[in-house]
Amino acid sequence: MSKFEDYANKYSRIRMERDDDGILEVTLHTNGGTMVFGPEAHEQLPPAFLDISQDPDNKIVILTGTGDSFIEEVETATLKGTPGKGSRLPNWTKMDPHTWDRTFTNAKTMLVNLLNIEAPVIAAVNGPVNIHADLAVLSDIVIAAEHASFQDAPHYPNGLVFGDGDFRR
Amino acid sequence: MTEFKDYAKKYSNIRMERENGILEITFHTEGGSLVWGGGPHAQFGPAFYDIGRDPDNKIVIMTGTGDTFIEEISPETLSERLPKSKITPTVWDHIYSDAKRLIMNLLDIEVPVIAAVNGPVNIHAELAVLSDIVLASENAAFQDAPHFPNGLVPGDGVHVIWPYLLGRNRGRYFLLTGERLSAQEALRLGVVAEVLPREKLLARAHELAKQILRQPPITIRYARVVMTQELKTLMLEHLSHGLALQGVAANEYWPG
Repeated sequence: MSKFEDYANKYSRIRMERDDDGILEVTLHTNGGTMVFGPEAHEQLPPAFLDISQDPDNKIVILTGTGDSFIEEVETATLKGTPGKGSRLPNWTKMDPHTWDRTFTNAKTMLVNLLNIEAPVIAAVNGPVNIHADLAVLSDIVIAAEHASFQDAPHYPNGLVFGDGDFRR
Repeated sequence: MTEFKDYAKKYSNIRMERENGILEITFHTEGGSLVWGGGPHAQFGPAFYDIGRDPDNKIVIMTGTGDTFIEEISPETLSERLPKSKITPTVWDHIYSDAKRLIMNLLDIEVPVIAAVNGPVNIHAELAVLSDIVLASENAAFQDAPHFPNGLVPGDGVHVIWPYLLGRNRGRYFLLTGERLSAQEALRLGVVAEVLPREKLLARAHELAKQILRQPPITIRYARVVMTQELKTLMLEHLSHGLALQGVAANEYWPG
């Protein structure tokens, strides 16, 4: 079991607010603006979903983004960083198994932990999402702003296999 | 095997008429629109079983009476079996058995089923939309009222069929919000094949039945079998779990 005060401020990329009815609003962001996807988000989302799922006081979850897009940008330093200087997805021609192991674990637990939240999840898709759109559309209810759009940009169009949960059904 | 005469008049809420192998079953309560309750809940599963075991049923047309398919529920007849308080496991066992038979016995009918939805259905709408061909009158509407909007877990098969028909996300929205789909919306979403004026509905169902019956008998049966196989698998996989959790939650809260 987890308690709100233990995890509410734990994640720099995820703002959490809960009202007296147990409605937990989860807002993805980067420094208060639209989330730019990167290693922090990839590291933080799995344990955040776990914390949320383990707190019986969360009666329902609303998942949203900041500003006018949900997630549309990737930290370029993440993809083109120099090996050994803190970035996890260096611009090597080949991904080594050790690095992939981190990505694999985070990617897997992100979706499994999200689905393990046993309170209904409502996604309020506040704008375009072309990175991890799966996070939004796995929700029980998905509502979208008029200008929202959905795409899977980081995988096949980017030379990668869409193997992180995007390919079934 | 069963014979028509053995079950044709056995069920007080289901009128059965058969001509040239076309079995028309009409849901009713004392001749008027069916009022859902303890009677139908207990009768439908066994009736579907009898129908499925009779080789002289070549095709089934399912319809309701008057201007609604099933829109009303009788708390009195339900409470003959359901106390107006917390549901105990012993009580739930009846509901569980009825509910499971209702779906599985219907899908075990190995001849095509045509639903002629003669008006709104907000209770057990899955009975209609599980059919191979679903026709609806212009005034029909589809909703899942007795579960989530009523405080109950949508676990009796509606959690399988609606996301299957509408798409995972549209289906979950439908169940959680209590959305009511008009006949036209149901047509657009692919739940219904044709929308017709009420007075032409049954005639069209019979016309389609006769069209289907022009094919060889074994072809007709096997066509039904192959087209329902996936649904049966999904129901077997998810029905017990859904009903079990519906029962647990009903022990905590029952809208008595």
